[in-house]
Amino acid sequence: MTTSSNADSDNLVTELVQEFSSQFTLTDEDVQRLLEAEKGWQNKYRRIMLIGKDLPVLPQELKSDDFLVQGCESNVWLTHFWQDEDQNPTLRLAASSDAKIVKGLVAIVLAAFNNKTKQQIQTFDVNQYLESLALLDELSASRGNGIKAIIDAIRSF
Amino acid sequence: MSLKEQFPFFQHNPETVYLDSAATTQKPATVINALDRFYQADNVNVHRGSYRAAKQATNDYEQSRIDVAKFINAFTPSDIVWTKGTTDSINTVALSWASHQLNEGDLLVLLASEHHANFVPWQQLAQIKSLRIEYVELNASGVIDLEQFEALMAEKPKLVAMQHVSNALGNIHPIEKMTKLAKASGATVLIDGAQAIAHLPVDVQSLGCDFYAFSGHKMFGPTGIGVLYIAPWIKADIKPVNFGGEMIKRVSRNDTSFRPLPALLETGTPNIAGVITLKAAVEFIQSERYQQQHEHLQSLYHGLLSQLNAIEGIRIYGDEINNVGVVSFTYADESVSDLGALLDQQGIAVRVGHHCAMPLMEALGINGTVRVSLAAYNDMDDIERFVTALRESIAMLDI
Repeated sequence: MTTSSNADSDNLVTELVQEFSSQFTLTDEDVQRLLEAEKGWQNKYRRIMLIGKDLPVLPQELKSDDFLVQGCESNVWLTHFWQDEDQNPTLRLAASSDAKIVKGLVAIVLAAFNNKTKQQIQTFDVNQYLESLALLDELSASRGNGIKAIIDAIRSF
Repeated sequence: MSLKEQFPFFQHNPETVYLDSAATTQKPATVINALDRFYQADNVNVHRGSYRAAKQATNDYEQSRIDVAKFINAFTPSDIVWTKGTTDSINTVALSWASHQLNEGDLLVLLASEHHANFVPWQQLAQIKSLRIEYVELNASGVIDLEQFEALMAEKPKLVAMQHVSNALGNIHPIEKMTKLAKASGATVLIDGAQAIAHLPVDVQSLGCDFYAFSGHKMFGPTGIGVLYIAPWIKADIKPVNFGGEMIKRVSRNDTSFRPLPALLETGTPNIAGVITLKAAVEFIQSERYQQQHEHLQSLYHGLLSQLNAIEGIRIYGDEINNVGVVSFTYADESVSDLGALLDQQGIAVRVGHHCAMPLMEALGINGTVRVSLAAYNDMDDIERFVTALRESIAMLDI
């Protein structure tokens, strides 16, 4: 049984995620276009960090330890809820990191999954997306694993 | 041949600037060859065989114990117990001695800067046995508060477990003085020497400690082999932890009698290759070439410090006077993980994060640092390349 205070905080979280996810409108095509234009690792990294700046500010309530993604070297917070659960479930996401590069990677992943329907998510080829960005070659193993941990977490929702 | 040229790692990785020797040192060719030679030509089990090769392997294996005992000036070779590494050595003390020697309410003293390996075993034991733990704090520049240490000794702790050198900051603690004070108060003293063994001469007899722990892989030797020195006067209080072969004198259906130390704590077939190879690592450290080069490490360290101090926004943590050659720093309010990633892109191998010393990071009020740790094989070129890469990383983070 949920106590009323738990229900209140659940409502608040949902509200904050809703607000965050609507403010973040970058799409996977945008990311592809932006990164494609960059040559050399310096420019690519700079662009990743700039993409991270597109993320809205993550409210303090969503930065609790409960929302930390396991398996990431730096802190990554990730929260979600399904909108229209019965009709046409759409995934609303809110996430961020305290590190600039990882924050950029979070934005790149969110661009692929945020505000997408369950069906869109199931059919989305995330490996091809990452490959097209030629990201994994540029990232160290630990950051590569971090990005996979975020994707796995989203896929399990 | 330069010292660096004695390390095959640098020939295989010419683009890498290796500044993570506090995590593990690279291995000289002599150590790699000793390991190779053992498995190629000399591999048999020890202490059992009646044939010539088995006797030779046993001799080599026990010669290593003699050499390591001399290396740290132990009383006898039997003061040396082989373990998997420092962590295993410390846990062995917790299980073989502390678990039955310490009682409810007893006081344990640790330094605030301990590595988790010399922190969590005691915290866990304290929870089970209701022991009390007190920490010796560090001042703002990361130096141990000796006055507080003395005050704590007046409370008659049962055990003082402390690092010789801080892994996160490189500080060399005044371990001689602290051990003397602790012993005078009646405490048993364990020293975690993991970060000291490659840099400082260790003399356990003159220290007077009860236990001294270190790892092979941080002193140019292989992973998976470590040492626990146990002083002769405390051996009667040691109980076995693991049971099985090697450590027994006589086994019958009704009872088993055990062999004395070091066999008592060396159950099962040991890490023979690791033990024999450790001898080569000791020889390397004792070589004139290494000792000469190691003398230059302090000037390399101070050169690095002054270059970093010239960069606005860099904040350095730790004792800059008594240091084995570790620079731990943050830059402005940037995440150290970003710095680590950008340095990695430029071929720089450093450690970023909490360095297995989360209570220390908490005390310093930070999440982590970038840790540059030097060894004798590093040179001016490494420092130049690192500082250039760091400046580039900092410029990139300014977006």
